[in-house]
Amino acid sequence: MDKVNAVIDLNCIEDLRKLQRPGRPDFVAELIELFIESFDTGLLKIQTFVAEKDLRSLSALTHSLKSNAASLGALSLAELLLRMEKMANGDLATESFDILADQIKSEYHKAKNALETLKAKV
Amino acid sequence: MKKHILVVDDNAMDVKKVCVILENEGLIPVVAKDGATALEMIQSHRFDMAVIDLQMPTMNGFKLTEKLRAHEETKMLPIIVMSGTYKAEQDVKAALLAGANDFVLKPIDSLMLTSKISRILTNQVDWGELSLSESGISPSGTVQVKIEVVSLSEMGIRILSTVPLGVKSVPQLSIPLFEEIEIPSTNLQVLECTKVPLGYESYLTFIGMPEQHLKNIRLFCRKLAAQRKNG
Repeated sequence: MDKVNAVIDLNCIEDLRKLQRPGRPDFVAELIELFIESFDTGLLKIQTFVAEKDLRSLSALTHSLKSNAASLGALSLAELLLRMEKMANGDLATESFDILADQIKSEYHKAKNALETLKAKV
Repeated sequence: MKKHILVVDDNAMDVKKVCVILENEGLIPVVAKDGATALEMIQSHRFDMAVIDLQMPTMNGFKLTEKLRAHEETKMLPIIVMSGTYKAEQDVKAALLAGANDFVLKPIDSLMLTSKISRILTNQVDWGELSLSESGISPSGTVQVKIEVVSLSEMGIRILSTVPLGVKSVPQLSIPLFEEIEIPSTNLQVLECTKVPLGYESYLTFIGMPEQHLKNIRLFCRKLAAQRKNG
């Protein structure tokens, strides 16, 4: 659980679990599935928007993915996405979009593994 | 009768979370994935409230709020705007100007959202305000009055002042205590203002307060409560 704890803020997961009602589908598991779904397509789109320099689409996409990451306590991932959103909006001095995209990809895989571990323990 | 809440958001995870929060409160969420669908829905359904995301493709939350305010059937519909914006102060003001009643930051804090919904649904009254801008005049000015903060919670503050504060207004307040507990700037909206023997007592709610700032308030309140308990 230490590995999970290093990537996911478990307080966020705990808060989400409080919303679970008896007899209903596992709410956190459903959110984890939606999270993975959004990032599996989202990461490919990030690469495309970066390559095409489509900053408007990149801003909208990273904004949405940032919300998904923060909802499940993947705070480092949310922070990286916030940086990219700000860069796409011209609100942050530009570093390399490509390097940041790689960092996001790497952090996402850590978050995905941690969340799948959590899901399996339910 | 159960209240129907129109939820407008294109983010599947946020929609799921909001719907679960609303259902747990005995409310019925009805989802529209974009502004155009929401505008179609209001033609055939009656809603008690709308919870609208700010950032959506084709029609953002500001535009949708303005359009709802322009419709006869929805001009009084309570609207809560939600967003994961990093420009909270600016977006909160713009949302209120567009006609929103309140603002919630993402990731959504369930207690915050349900408190705001409950407050709005139980206070659905016509406050009797006359819109001067709609009457074609826009007088402006500033006034400095001393206030005393008498209570504080994550939802808002209660203050005493010598003059009344306009209900629904968002006054500019300077409260050194906020700087001490590291809340650099925040929007507060006047929810109620009543006459008391020594002046006026007003309750103001925080709008778009980031989680970090809410945490600072929680820590401050806990610390103060502990000090009181220890004498």
